[in-house]
Amino acid sequence: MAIKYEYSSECCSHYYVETRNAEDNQVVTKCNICGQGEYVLTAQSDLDAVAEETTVSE
Amino acid sequence: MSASIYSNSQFTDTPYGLKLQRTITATGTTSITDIPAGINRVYAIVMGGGGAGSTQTTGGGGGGGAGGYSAGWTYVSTSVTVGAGGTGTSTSAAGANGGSSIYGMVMAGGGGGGQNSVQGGGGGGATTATSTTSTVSYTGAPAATNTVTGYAGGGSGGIGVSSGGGFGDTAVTGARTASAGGRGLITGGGGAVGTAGAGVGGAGGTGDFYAGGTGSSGTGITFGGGGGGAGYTGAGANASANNGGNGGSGGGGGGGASTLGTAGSGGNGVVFLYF
Repeated sequence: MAIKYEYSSECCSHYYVETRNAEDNQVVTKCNICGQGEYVLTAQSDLDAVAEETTVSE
Repeated sequence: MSASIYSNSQFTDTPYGLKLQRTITATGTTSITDIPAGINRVYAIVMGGGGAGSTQTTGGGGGGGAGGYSAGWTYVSTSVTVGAGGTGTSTSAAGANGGSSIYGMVMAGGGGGGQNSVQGGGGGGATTATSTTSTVSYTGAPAATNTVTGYAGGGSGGIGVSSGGGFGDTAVTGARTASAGGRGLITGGGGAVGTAGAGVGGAGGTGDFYAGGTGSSGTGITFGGGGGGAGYTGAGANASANNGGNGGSGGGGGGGASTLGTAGSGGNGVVFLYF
């Protein structure tokens, strides 16, 4: 199950998104704008996998 | 007050004027529909999954190769694919190759699994390595054959941005040492040794950001697993007993196993988007 995690940095409110498997840890913790504050989780939602295109032989 | 932006490793590879806005580690293909309107070009750094190590009935197997590393500008896409690392098993056979990753027009292949022998898998280029030979990189750098240095290093210790897995060792008696994975940005797993004597498993290759895992050492065939290779976002795991260590997250190759131990799995790939 893929989960979309939305973050806002506590220092400058930078909006940042990680899409991870449920069991995986956060990859980035420090703000990407200034490197100071931590990212605070603001929302998370399940993300359906995109169906792979299939072809059918005639 | 001074501040070091380098406390965050993502800054070390951030194109000037851009910021890391999206990180995708979820394996498989998922939608990505939240790129803001008006952003038409995105700088993507894409890594494939690491190859799994191999195990052998007697002696040690080779380590898995590192996942490919590709970076460049692309059009905005509504889907992203992240390759999983190859899964290590206790069956005497070649290790599974890592999966490939792609966003827009930037793609990276998986690392080659350790071979059904002592040979380590090749590093991934733009496409997945399926043997000891790596593949052509996204930059166009040529593939490298076994042990040879390349953008994607050849198997059995080839150095590269994505390096090859280390040699295992066939001997079943005497004091033996297997080889480490090649060094690089993302590295291959170490080879394994399975001897009645004193054995030392090969370490995962030394990465630019993270360390490879250590090999297992001891006397007898219940030791000698190879360490996992360093990933882009995490260190390789240490080997345990005659089992290989898993590759670090972000494409590290799995360590080889010996005497039907369980080979290490490759680390999953990752995609970073900057705009």
